[in-house]
Amino acid sequence: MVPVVELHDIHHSYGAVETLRGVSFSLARGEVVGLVGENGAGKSTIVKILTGVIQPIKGNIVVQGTKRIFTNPRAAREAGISAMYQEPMLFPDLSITENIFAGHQLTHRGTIAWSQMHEQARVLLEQLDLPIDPQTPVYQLRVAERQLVEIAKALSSGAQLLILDEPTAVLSAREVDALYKIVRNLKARQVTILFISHRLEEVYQWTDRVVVLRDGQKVAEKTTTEVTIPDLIRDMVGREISALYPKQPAKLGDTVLEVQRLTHKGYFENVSFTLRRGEILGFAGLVGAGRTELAQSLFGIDRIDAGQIILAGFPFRPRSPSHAISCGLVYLPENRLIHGLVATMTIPWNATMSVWQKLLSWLGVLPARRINRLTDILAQRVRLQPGRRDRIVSALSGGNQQKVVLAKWLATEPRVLILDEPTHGIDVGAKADILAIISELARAGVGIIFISSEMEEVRSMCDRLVVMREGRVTGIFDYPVDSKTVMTAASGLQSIVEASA
Amino acid sequence: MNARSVTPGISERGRFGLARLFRIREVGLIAIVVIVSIVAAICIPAFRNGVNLREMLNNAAVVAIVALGESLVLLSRQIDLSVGTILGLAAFITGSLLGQLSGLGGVGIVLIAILLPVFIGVVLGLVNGLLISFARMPAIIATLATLSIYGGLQVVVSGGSQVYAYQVPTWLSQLYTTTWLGIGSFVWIGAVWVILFSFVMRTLRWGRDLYAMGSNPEAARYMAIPTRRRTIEAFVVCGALAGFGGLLYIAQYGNVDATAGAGFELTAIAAAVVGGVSLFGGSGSPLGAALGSVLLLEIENVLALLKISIFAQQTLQGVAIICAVALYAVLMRRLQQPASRNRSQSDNDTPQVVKTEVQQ
Repeated sequence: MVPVVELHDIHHSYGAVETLRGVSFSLARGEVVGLVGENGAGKSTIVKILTGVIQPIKGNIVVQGTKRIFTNPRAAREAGISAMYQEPMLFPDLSITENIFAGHQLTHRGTIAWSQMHEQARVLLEQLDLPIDPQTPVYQLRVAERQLVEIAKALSSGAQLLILDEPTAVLSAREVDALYKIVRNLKARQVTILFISHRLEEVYQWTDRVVVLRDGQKVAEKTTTEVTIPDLIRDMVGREISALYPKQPAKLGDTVLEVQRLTHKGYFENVSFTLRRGEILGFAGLVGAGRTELAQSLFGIDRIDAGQIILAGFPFRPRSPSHAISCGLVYLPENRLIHGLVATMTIPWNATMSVWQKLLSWLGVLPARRINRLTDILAQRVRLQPGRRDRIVSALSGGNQQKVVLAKWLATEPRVLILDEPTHGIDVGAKADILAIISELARAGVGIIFISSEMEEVRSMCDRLVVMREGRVTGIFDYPVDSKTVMTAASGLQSIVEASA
Repeated sequence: MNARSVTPGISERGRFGLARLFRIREVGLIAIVVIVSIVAAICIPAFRNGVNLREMLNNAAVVAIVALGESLVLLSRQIDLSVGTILGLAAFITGSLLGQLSGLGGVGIVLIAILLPVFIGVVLGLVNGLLISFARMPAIIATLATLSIYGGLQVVVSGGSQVYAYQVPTWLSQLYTTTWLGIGSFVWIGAVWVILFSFVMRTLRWGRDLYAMGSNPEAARYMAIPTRRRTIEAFVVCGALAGFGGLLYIAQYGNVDATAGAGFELTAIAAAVVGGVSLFGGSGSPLGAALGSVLLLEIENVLALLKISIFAQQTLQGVAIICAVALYAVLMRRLQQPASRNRSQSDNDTPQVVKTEVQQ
């Protein structure tokens, strides 16, 4: 039997970074194949290559026996390959019908045949159990419904292969079940599905076969019934890389932050933990587990519905970020360019932004001399590479940008430093630097909350590790903890694993 | 179309039936135009006067034609600030040429009178489009520059002179006061354009491409829509309509000088936005832009009839625009309530909302 789609020795790189190094696998008709791997393993690159968003530098895509090169997603779609991306590629202002038929509208003598399209859209939506008027504009739909529109779009163009890229990360449990049913139906209709998910139990339940990627290479390809989830995890994580993580032992002091049954409805519930001076407390979990939301509530950006916070011995109810900062609690955001920096200002202005108030002269002027002097001190502390001080931060590398954000917060002499994915998208050298700074800060007595989706990193850097899943704490573990235990708690295979004292 | 039975849960009944009528955004706008008209007609006798109504609607038609072109550009998430000077330049060149050819007559002159301003608009619009598509300039900067350039050209070309009403052929100067079936000629002309472009934007791929580009530029590229080409085309059509507006301007005022059309771009943009065309692209319609023009000119007319000082008039006009847009927004929210409820529910339902939406 001829496979629907085959990948032969696909290579791809962004600049000097090789994202794919010779990946080959094939997909048979009516098969559901799981594609798993850690962040950065190359899953998204595969999706983009299959759908023609980007082109491989080497290797072939073979669709039903013919070699193909797709220069844009529409070409891939016409060849029967459609994808539901993590960020839906829909037109929010336009109707469901128009989104379904975007790029291949039905026409009658050159004019668009609306009634015919609406009717076909209605039929498609009914097949997907979505009884919504196809003239509804897409912005009125919720996420799960938008996904179904994407699927309807794929079906309308006669998709042979449907790629689902992390579809369940943004869905509630009930919606996931509904999607699962649809996947079964599509399979029964001989549609091939490539399913990408961080939730391994879903991969286990949904797929016939699993392909595991690590560092741009295929490390395993197995029939799902022949593997166990621990096998998959071992394949995904691979080797240990503890040298990269310069954790120094730190003396733990008094409790600096105590959080009791904190709740923000719909985001996280009943979260309790304590943080001591000098401690690095890791937060692990899948995307959407509620870790960022928790951090934002602690920092006064988001609401708190219930629960208590005790900061350095006093009850603390953050009213706003400036309130939190003045109480010694700061937050390094996940997206440094949008929330962490003013991209068009120079290093000194960014690095001292948090303390401008204190630097004002008696005339209310900000003296450049004070700013520059403070910047020099901070730059040394965060190991900012020497060079022209007056550079615009958007021109810096990701690692140096992150160091500037760190400097901004160090200027406030925080008691508690919350780091949200501090090493995300940063090259290996700068990453080690940032982790070393974090370690030094802990030694200096700062309590650190360290949110990260990189398993090795949190495991190796943290004194204790809090694992969250769907807004709840599912386990608190002492160092050292093996990644299997963490994955288990994060994906919810067993409900609560108590390993800590 | 009949409403089908709906399973509760995923969908809501409100999406069918009455809501459908009000999903047509123009319904609210028509309601406001009608309300303002009725109130004005009752309170101000002069408003009911036939000549006043005809002139007001004629003026609105000129604005509507330019706003129509502008709305095509706005729908594709661009903006054209140069339409005022395109109108002025087209009007001046056409006006002076017609003055010089006044000895001639016949169909040839009529054709020149119609085609020349449109051609000038096409050329100037093409310059805008090329600057934006190929020089990759942001539309607001590029057209701000061409606004200045075209305005300067107008001064240079005029050399301080102006076109006088007596130079304009009589058939053109009489057009303003001509009525067909009791309705001003400009209104008919405007209606033809609105109907034509309603058709184009609704039922031709070309129009839908503009909507798609405005709604989600990245997805439009994914769909292999030729976005550069469409952008140029939108600016060309916008320029052409502004040029045609220049012809009507000659007929309307007779005198054309170096400042003709100055500030018209803001009127056109205001009309389009009041008419529900989103400055962020993707939503709105030609009919909406036309209705916005009518509403705008109606407000201006009422304020003028109330004999309010010209200075206060401008301020009050701005206030009236804000009130009209606010009223419209409230009205639409009321009517679309089922939809908005559905939206907030979805926020609670899914623990993780896409955070990067602000990025764009």
